[in-house]
Amino acid sequence: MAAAAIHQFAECITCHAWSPDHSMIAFCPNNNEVHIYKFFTDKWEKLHVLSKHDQIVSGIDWSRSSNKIVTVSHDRNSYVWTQEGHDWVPTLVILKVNRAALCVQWSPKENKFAVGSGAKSVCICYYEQDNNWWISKVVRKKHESSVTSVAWHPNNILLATTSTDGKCRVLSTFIKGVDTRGSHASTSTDWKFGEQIAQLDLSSMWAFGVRWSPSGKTLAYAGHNSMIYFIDDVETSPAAQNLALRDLPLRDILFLSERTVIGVGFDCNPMIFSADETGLWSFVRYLDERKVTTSTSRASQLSEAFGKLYGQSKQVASSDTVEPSKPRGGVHENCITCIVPLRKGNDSIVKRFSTSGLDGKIVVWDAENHIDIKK
Amino acid sequence: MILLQSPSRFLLQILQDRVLSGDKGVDIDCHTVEFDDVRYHIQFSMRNPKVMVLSVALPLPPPEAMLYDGLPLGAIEAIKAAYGPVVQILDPPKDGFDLTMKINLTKLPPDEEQRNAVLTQIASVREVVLGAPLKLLLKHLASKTVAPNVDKLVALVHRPNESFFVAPQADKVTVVYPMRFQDSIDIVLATSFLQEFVEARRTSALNNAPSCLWSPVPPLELKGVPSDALNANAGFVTFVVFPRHVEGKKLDKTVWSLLTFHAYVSYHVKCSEGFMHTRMRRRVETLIQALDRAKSDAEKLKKLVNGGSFKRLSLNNDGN
Amino acid sequence: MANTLRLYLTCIRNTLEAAMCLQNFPCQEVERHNKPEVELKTSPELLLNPVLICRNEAEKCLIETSINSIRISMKVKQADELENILAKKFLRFLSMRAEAFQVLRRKPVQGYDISFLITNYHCEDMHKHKLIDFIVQFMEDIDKEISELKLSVNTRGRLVATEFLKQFI
Repeated sequence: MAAAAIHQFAECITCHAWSPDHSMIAFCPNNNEVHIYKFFTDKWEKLHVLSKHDQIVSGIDWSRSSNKIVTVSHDRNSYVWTQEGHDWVPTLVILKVNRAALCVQWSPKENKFAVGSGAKSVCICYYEQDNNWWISKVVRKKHESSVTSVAWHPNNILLATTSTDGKCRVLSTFIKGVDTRGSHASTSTDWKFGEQIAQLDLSSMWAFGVRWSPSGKTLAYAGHNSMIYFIDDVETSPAAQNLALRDLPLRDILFLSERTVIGVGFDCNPMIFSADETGLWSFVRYLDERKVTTSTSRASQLSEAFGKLYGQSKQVASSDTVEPSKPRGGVHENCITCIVPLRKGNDSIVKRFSTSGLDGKIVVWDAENHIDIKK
Repeated sequence: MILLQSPSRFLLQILQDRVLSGDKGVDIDCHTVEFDDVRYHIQFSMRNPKVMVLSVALPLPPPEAMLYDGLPLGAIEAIKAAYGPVVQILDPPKDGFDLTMKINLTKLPPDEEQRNAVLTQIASVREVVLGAPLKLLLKHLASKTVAPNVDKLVALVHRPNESFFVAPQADKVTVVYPMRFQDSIDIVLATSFLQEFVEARRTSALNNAPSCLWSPVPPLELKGVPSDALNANAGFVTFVVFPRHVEGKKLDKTVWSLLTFHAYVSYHVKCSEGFMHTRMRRRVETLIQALDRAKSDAEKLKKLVNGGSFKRLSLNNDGN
Repeated sequence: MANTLRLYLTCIRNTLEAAMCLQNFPCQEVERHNKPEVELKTSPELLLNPVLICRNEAEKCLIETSINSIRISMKVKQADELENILAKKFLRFLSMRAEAFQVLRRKPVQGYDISFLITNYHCEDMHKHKLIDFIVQFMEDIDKEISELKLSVNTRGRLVATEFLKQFI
């Protein structure tokens, strides 16, 4: 079985993150707190409760080198938590947004983090040594609706965002004094902070879960119309592939390698996608073997329903019986909302990853032994 | 109990208890109210153990239904005929009542069965008094005649401020009821019921019952009646009664049935609503249970969460 | 007759499977607020096309979805006066128990007899497939209940009438 470990931490989990050595896990149990559990011998024990936010914590990221936790919440605030002895000490970051913060991610060099917000903007926060605090620079007027997810390109400068306006954008977050114009080849030498490098208008529906492949060559994100999009060379000459999902939409995705992606969402079962030698992406299978397969007529009825919701008309497939709704997935009993890699050392391939969802479970999956990861 | 019974159970119980108590017993001073605003007041005192006093208040009559001395036409004669020496009418009646009677307990027949029959008859004072005019008209029908000095159309009170209409002829008597209900739901249910009366009458088994018609508008028999007496939100029911329906022992039963027709329908409309309420409540409970089933797992989870156990599925140990 | 009901309910079930993909979403209009967007309707990009499923001219179901909430409104069959008041009585009875039902909207959407409001919070507490089962069962039950109530009224009416008329024979 692909699921290596299953733990029921709460009734419902919003998001989670692992400590650098994977001995601790931080998650939000669908309230204003962050719980940190540590694994002792054979069970998990609650070690800390971080409670500075006063609304739900929508994003947590734990930096691997600097061991700092950043949290963002619907209360418009962000805190950076530093471990001092046995305690986690919070530092408030003034985001300068007047709506909820929805997602957060540390940059690869961990000297910046990006926050997507309901104010239709993205904040790039960096540490100012002189004043010993984090400063937020806001990218405004680029998004037409809430920013649902953010992802850093390995070059620590480009940031991809998805929004409920259906678009995926790539922006530059170059900050003088923080970033240096590197020696990597780039077509644009004039990367100003907040400049939009690309805008992808592939989805007619809300976009979520954007991620870059390990090299930064490929960008992928999910559309609520049950689509997943793969775009190569987005900075230079974008080439996009649209893949339609059979059933329900995805909420988050993860690149295991250059050519293997895991998608998680409303089907409650991780989906494996991989690209062949020519770079053509396709759906491989559901990861959890316990999934109940649906008949084709049912799948076409679902797609017809989706078509109606998203304004396309399709053929009707009629049926005489009202099948009761089948529970989806297997290990997860409700929508999976978050997928996090468990990277070992400098491995370029992700061999294990974890998922959390509305059922309150965190599941660690053994990708190495159960998935044919295409490098 | 589907049909309305003529003797008042309340009165009958009190009368029987009094008679059975004999020399023992307590003073009685009881009031009660029955459907359509009929009130009773019965009194007994150990100081005067041979007598009971029963007062009756009748529903307020509408303008078109005339009363004679505060009582329906022929009521006094009917009382005398029904009770003989056992009952004496007191004049004037007690304050707030239309009729007061003194019941002479010593004049009751000694035989138990006969005595019970008299007590039952006393308990049916409502039928005797309110049904007097109708009985008069129907008695003439039994002999295929018409009562003298009687209008072509007679209005008789049966409910507070409401009357039903009787058109007596030698070979048949037509009875018309304007049906009125307060609640909009009652109106629709009653209309449905009344249509069933018409349908039921059409079945062969009930061929010999009085003919039964329903109309949303006043039927021709009611021509000339002032319009306030004619508003009926559940339509008009017409029964045509023939001599065979009132001969011999059938007369009293027919009088009672026709006298309380509206009350009968109202009673069953209410029963129906009560039944519907119960059904709906049960259905709602079932639906709530179905919703609870959707939640049940989450509730179970609440118990698992605290400090829980770790479920290991593979042999790869460390959290790495 | 039973056939169209099955088709109608299957169509509704499938649409709900697709439409009930909800998530927690804070209000874009008012800070620190979290409201069902399908009720608010202030951010059009957060709403999906409403879907209307009609069983016939009299019975239909409107499904309106947004990013964090879904509204399901039903128009129930009312072929005659009696079915009309039976439906009204039953639905009013339910609306008064709206709290126990959680997902029931206190007032139906204009033009419909009953409405459900399901939010992401309901989907967090309850299993989606069971919620959908509940909604479909609800629709079936209303249909059944009105038919059975009507039948019971007619049966009782017949009985009451027969007993009355029998007395004269």
